[in-house]
Amino acid sequence: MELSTEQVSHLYNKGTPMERRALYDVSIKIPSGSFYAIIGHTGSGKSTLIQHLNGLLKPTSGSVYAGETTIRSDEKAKRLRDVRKRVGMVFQYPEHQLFEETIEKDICFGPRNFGASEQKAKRKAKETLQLVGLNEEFLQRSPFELSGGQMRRVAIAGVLAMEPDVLILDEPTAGLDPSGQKEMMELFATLREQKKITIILVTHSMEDAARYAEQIVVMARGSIYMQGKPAEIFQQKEKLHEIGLDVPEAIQFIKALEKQFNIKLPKAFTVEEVVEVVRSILKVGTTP
Amino acid sequence: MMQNVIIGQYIPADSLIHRMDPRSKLIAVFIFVLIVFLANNWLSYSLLGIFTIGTAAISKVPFSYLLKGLKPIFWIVLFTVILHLFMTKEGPVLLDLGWAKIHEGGLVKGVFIAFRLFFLILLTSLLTLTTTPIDITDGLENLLAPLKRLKFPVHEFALMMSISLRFIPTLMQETEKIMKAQSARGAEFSSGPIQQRIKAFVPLLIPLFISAFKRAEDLALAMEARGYRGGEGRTKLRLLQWKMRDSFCLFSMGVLIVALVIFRS
Ligand SMILES: Nc1ncnc2c1ncn2[C@@H]1O[C@H](COP(=O)(O)OP(=O)(O)OP(=O)(O)O)[C@@H](O)[C@H]1O
Ligand SMILES: [Mg+2]
Repeated sequence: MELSTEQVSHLYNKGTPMERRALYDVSIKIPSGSFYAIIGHTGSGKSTLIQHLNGLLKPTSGSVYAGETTIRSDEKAKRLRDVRKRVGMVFQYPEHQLFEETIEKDICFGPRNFGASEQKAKRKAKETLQLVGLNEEFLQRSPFELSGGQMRRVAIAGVLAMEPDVLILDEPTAGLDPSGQKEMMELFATLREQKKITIILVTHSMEDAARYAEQIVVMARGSIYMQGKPAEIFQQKEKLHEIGLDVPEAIQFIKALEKQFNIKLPKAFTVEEVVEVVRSILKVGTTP
Repeated sequence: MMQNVIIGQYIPADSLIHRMDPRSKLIAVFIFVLIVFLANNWLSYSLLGIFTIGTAAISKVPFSYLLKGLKPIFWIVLFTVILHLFMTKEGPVLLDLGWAKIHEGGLVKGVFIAFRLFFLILLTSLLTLTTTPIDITDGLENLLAPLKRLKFPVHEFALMMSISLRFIPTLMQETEKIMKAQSARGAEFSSGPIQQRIKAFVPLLIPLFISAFKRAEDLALAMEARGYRGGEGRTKLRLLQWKMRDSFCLFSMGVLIVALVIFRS
């Protein structure tokens, strides 16, 4: 399912003294099956933008297109249900949304709301719980006796169980331990490959953006500041510095090497790739 | 829905009302709540109206914002007006519906009650809109200080109040956030039959309670960690200052009382 916005602006608390403009004429197009990362300084409007994509927020002006559905400021809520089902949203700290007695019931909440039978919902609960790395024994436990990281996984399973076509993730790994972060990111990448789900990831980690995304959207002060492939974005170090962002350490490392020895090296976004590059230099014996 | 509740919000601005001492504001509002009941004819109600609208104008809080805050109580007001309309049997009959008669007295009383409620809500919300929670607490603690002799826990009471006021907006934000998260999972809060809508609040209330309890626990811990031991021997960084304008405020309340007593019938 393709998502796009056309000149979307959003005002919070419109018509009050606390009125605040969070988006300015944002136009963006996210094709089906792609992996987009949205990065930007805190308060730049990332969360606001993604909440438009499944109709949780309505644009103050402009339009949002989700598949066949158009969302405008005057749109009735009824037609948004289908969009909500197809565009799954994992919020920042999703563990705060857990409420059921058992984990199974909590995961079933989404599918049941969207009309799945109890049997099917339960089956999905089992499946998705396994996907996020928890075993079946958890199904009958209370979500409130889990650790923070486990709760996060359950909450994510609750969204995956709805079988969305698009998965929007708002800083899904914030506050997880490093190995948990990596597992989560790998899970999203796998989901995209196996189920052809579109992934939209909001993140503060330049490393994750560089490693997983096809396209990066950089936001600043409520507008799109840059957009392009990771390689294109992270080449423009100065432009990123201007809005307080940095390039991944791997790229910085390669740049420093190039400068130090005055040579040209292949691109590397991740530590593994850097290792490859360095190894190849050593092997070939071109060390200056 | 959440955006319409304005009690507990503070709107920063530089106005005479904002600069006044919280004590004079508290006393003035208290007096106002009492003397609203003195008004009983058009003249005295107009006087109250002028006073309320004048205060709102001086406070620099936009009228549109205040009106929005009145929206949630609109139904309560309407209900009381209708009740008065049918229950009061005074004066000539204006309308005979067969099953009920509307008397002139009922109409007048209904309108008066509506105005009374609007004035009350408007002025009390102006208090919180123009005074920070800390100031309200300090003022209240100061005013209630004599009650300490009667073993009334004034300091704790004031603290409790300020914490509640402080957390109203936070709780609203939280509510909005959880509502969004559950809507994304297909929950419906604003449509469907009534039983379903009541049921829909469970996924909202449980996370809300959990986070409220957790927040309370965190706050208690943080206070203890910083050595909070209650009000005993505690000094204040910011001292309340009673200025000319505060005396003037109380003076004008006095004038209002006298005027109301003269004009009421
Ligand atoms: N519910 C709200 N009410 C009022 N203003 C809001 C609300 N949510 C966000 N804002 C404001 O809108 C702007 C954009 O916020 P947004 O949450 O989209 O930023 P973000 O890029 O997601 O930041 P972060 O990285 O911290 O999550 C901010 O200036 C913020 O203060
Ligand atoms: Mg955000």
